[in-house]
Order: sequence, then C-alpha cells, then structure tokens
Amino acid sequence: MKLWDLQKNQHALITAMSSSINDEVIHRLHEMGLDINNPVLCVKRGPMGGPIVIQLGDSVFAIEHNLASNISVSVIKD
Amino acid sequence: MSSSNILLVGKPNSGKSLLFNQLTGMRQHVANYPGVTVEIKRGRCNEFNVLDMPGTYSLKGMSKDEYVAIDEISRAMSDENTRLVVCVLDATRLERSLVMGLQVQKLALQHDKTLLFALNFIDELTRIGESIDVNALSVALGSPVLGISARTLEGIHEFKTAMLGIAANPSSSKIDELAISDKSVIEQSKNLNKRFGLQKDVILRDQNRIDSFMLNSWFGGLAFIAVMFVLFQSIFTLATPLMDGVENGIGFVAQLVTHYLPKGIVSDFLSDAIFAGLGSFLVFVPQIMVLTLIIGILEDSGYLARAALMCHRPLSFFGLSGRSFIPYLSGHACAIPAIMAARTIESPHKRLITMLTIPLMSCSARLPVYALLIAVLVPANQSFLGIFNLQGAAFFALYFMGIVMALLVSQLLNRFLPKDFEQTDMPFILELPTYRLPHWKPLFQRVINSAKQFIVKAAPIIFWVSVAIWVLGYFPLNSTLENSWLSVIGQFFEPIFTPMGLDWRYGIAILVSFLAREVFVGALGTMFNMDNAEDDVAGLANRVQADGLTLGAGLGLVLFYVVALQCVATVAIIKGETGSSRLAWGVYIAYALLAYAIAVLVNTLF
Repeated sequence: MKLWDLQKNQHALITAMSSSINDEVIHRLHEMGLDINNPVLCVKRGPMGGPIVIQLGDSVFAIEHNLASNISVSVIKD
Repeated sequence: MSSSNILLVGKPNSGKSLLFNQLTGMRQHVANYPGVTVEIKRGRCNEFNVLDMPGTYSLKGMSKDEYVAIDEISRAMSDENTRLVVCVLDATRLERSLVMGLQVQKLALQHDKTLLFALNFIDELTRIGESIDVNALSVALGSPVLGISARTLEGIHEFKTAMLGIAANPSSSKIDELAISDKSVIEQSKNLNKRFGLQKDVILRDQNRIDSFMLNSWFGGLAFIAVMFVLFQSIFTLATPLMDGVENGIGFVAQLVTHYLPKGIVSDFLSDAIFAGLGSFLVFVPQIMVLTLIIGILEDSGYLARAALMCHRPLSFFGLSGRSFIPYLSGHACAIPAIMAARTIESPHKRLITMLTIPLMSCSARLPVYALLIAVLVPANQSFLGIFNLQGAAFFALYFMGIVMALLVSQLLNRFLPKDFEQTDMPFILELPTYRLPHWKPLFQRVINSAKQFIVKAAPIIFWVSVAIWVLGYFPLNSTLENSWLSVIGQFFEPIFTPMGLDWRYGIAILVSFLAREVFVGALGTMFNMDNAEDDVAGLANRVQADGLTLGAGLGLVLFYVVALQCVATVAIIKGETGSSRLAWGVYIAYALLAYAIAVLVNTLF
C-alpha cells in the first residue's frame, strides 16, 4: 500500500521508499522523520485533491501525490 | 564601537525573529529587500551586533531561499568577528529542531565557534503541564541550553545575561566534544527526543482538529475566500484614509514651500516636478504597508501555509506550485518583494514561471490608473446586480483579469518554456506550523521595512522621470504644451497610438509610464493642463470625458495597463533573480506587445 492511499486517522509504518526519489529529497525526508520503520499518521486526505497531510512524530507535513505514491506503508491495525 | 557579532539561527516558525526583537529592541537594519525570510536583520544588544540569519529547515538545502540562507550562515560562521552562535529550538517539536540544531553545532565546531541553544516556547509546555530537563539536555548536547519564551519573556533576562557573558568570553563555554557522537544527527535527535521530548501529542492534536476544518474542501474553501475578501477589502478601506493623509500632507508642504518662493521657473519646478512626482508614489506607501501587515498576520498565525496547501492542486493545473500563491498575493502590493518571495518555490521551473507572471498581478502602482480610467468609463453611483457598486465591480474585474491573464500565461510558459534538465524538479513538501497568535513586534518591523525599502527603490526612478517630463514640457521657455519639446516627441510617436484610438497626449503618458507606470496619471494631467492631477482624479476624469475618449479606446487603454509590465525596477529584479538580462527585457517587451495587441483589438471591436 502507498502512503498516498492512507485514509484519514489511519496509522501506518513506512516500509519502503522508491529508488526513483532523488537523493536530496530522500535526505530531507529522513530529516523530517520519514524513514523506513517510522510511524506515520494520515491527518487529512488532500484538500481539493491536493497534497496529503501526514503527521511524523512531532510535526505535520503536506506531501504531493507524485512523492507520496512512491513511498510504501503498511497499516497498523488498532 | 566593537564589531563582534552574535548569530541567531533556527528554523522558520521557531520564534527566532521575536527573540531577535526582544534582544535588540526596535532599532534594526535590514540588509536586503524584505521578502519572506530572505533578509538578514542586524541589531544591537549591549556591545554586540546581533544578526538574525534567514530561517531554513536544514543545512542541506532544497530550494533557492534555503541555498541563500545556508550560504549566508556558513559565511557568517567563518567570520572571525563572530563570537557566538545562538541556535533557537522549538520545545514543542524537539526532535525536528534538534536535527537542525545538531547540524548547526557540527558547523560551529568546524569553525571553532561557541554555541548556545535557546529552547523556545517553554510557556506552551507549561500550559499543558509538561517540562523539559534543560540542565540534563545541556550535558547531553555538550553546549549550554536555556529555556525561554520569547513571547511571555519567561527566562529572557537570564538568557540575555548568559548570552552576553559567553559572547564576552567565548572560550569559557566551548562545545564539549565528548558529547558529540558519531551517530547521524537524525538518530541522535531521535534518542535525545526519547529522553527529553514531549511524549504526548496534545499540541498537535489541537492543531489537527483546527485543520480538519481549515483544510476541509468546503469549509476550508469558504474560509479561504473569506480571508481573501477581507484582505482585498482592507487594502482599500484601511489604506484609503492613510493615503488621503499622505496626499494632504504633501499638498500642504508643497503649498507652504511655493508660497514663499517668487513665481517663476524654480517655483514651477518644485510644485510640478518634485512635489507632484513625489506625491504620485508616496501615496502607495500606506497600501504596501497594509498589505504587508495582513500577509504578515497570515504568515505568523500559520494560515499562509494552509492557504498554499489549498491552492497547490488548482495551481498545479497551470504549471505552478501551491507556494506560488504567496508571491502572487504580495504581487498585488508590489512585484519586487513578490519576485523575491518566489525563492521559496521548490521547483526551479515553477519558480521561473511564477516570477515571469507576477508582473500581471495588479500592483498598487496601477491603482491610480484604474481609478482614473474607471471614473472616465463607468458611471458613478450605479449598482451592478442591485448590490455591488458598479465602479467597485469594475475594479474587481480588472484585478480578476490580471489573475486570469497570469494563469493563462503560466499555462503557456509551462508548455513551451524549455525545462532545464540540469536542475532536478523538487517535489512539494510543506510543513504545517502550529497556529499561534502573531506578536506585534516582528509585524511592526516588517511593515516599517516594507515602506522603507519601497521608497529607497522607487524614489530615484520616479524623481528622474518627473524631472525629465517636466523639462520636456516646460521648454523651450515661454512655450505652451502644444509647442513644447514633449509635443514634438509625442507627435513623432503618434502613429503607434492611432490604432489604439489615442492621440499623442495619451501616447506621451504611455511612453513615460514604461519607466514606472505610476507616472501615467500625473503625465496625463500635464497633457490636460492640470497641475494637481494626482490630487484631483475626478477633475481630470471630467476633462478626459469632455475631450471625447471613445469607449473602445478607453477600455483598450485600461486593459493595456492590466497587462503591460511598465516598471524598470521589476525588470531589474527579474534580471537579478534569473541572472539573465535577455529574459528580463524579453518579458518587458513581450508584455508590452501583448498589451498593445489587446488594446488595438478592443478598440476595433467596440
């Protein structure tokens, strides 16, 4: 399942990041806490079809479709 | 006066600017044009200079504004006058701010500089019954940490004392190299956060609750429209009395000065060239200040990030980014800070398109031109659909036209502008900051700086244009306007303006406004033998109407002003930001041709 497919309030773990993502971007994502095995929470599906809003640890980020669809996650059942 | 510096670094929204204001008081100096976080502010705290470095999310940049910020931080770090580096951390987002904080610490160590951490927003932790063990965190980091609240001033006095003490004797508090681990800063931040950070996400839960409304497609959309409506309303309603005040003030001084001078060339020069010229642009200053204030409130409250997010999808359709929204918005005051603000756009291609289309936003210099031509073309005191004032609706239509044109041109540029494959296109990643009540001090500084910078940039051009028009219209001595040098030039160029349905008088006013469009009203006033056209737009409108301007020509003329890029200061800034003078002048000529084509077309159709 891709990060982009998460539904509102779903918790997930990052499982893989596509090798097509540019190195600088990967580095920034790691700094943001978006890394394999880290938890992620979907705060909101994109307003007006726009970027998805996710919570990573202590911060909230919006990420656009072409990046979020290159990151794989697995949903944590609660 | 010593030249020892203290650097302030930190992420955007870490409260760094407010801390700077609290440390240095209200006297400060901006070294660059105030856009969004691209300037370095300099202030004094006792015997030290405090430099507020531009905010960046990381010391590894992704966009132009970050590259600029990182370059400046590195340069300042290697400066031998730098005594101390203060890194501001956000106590409510400890892990993320430590990633940047540890990067700064490593850089400081490389340059053999001393570091002090300011852990800001501790008041927000206290409010939810939490705290951070600052002493243990200091030991773990190997650099002193002090808890502060720049807003409530909690801990500021102690912080200032400690900061000045360390800056006076930096070697007393060197970075403890034993504390520096060889783990990556990301892993280290994670571990430190586990030991010291907030374990509950109370603050984020509140933020997310507000966002589920603000980012809702329906409610959020309505809120967005409401915010934009209030913004544009206040540009007019709040700024109008201030603008009248400026006009009256200049009129009063002009009268006072000319009253005591004998009639003749000097008095004519002062009243018609200097005061009329000054008046025609000082009058925009209140508007720029009001717009800067509102954008500042929106940014500091955290709403601007949400607005950019809401706009991302619709703007992507035209080849733009959600971040293009902020420069577009400030372009309605003045294109110059707006083009600088485009630096925050992550993708170089989208940034270029945004910069090239910002000049189509109806900046405040177009306002008097719109005011004049609407007064000529649209009957006053009539309503549109029974509720809107017809002239008000016409204003709105012109603003709207500018935005539509910008989106159309963006779409074209996106399709036909060659992409630079050397530069990778960065994806849209946006941090949503906590909603906070803006503090007046940084806002006040921003507003004052916007006014100062506008005056400094615009004054020389306006001055020389006013002087040149006056000289050409005044000489040969004792001539009337019809046989002045200005008229000779105007009649030479008249054939260009005939297809627009305009004669040489309009031609001259249009030609001179290619330097700066705000001179149009004053210049046209001179052509219609009015000394004070800026102060009496209604009077000039009556004369133009009586002179028989046709509907087609008038409509064409106003649309010409919507599209044409008549501002050499904007060309200069595009050249500065893109590094290409061919591109900058190309845009200038292209918009002039497009504007001309539209005006001629409208004149033939109506």
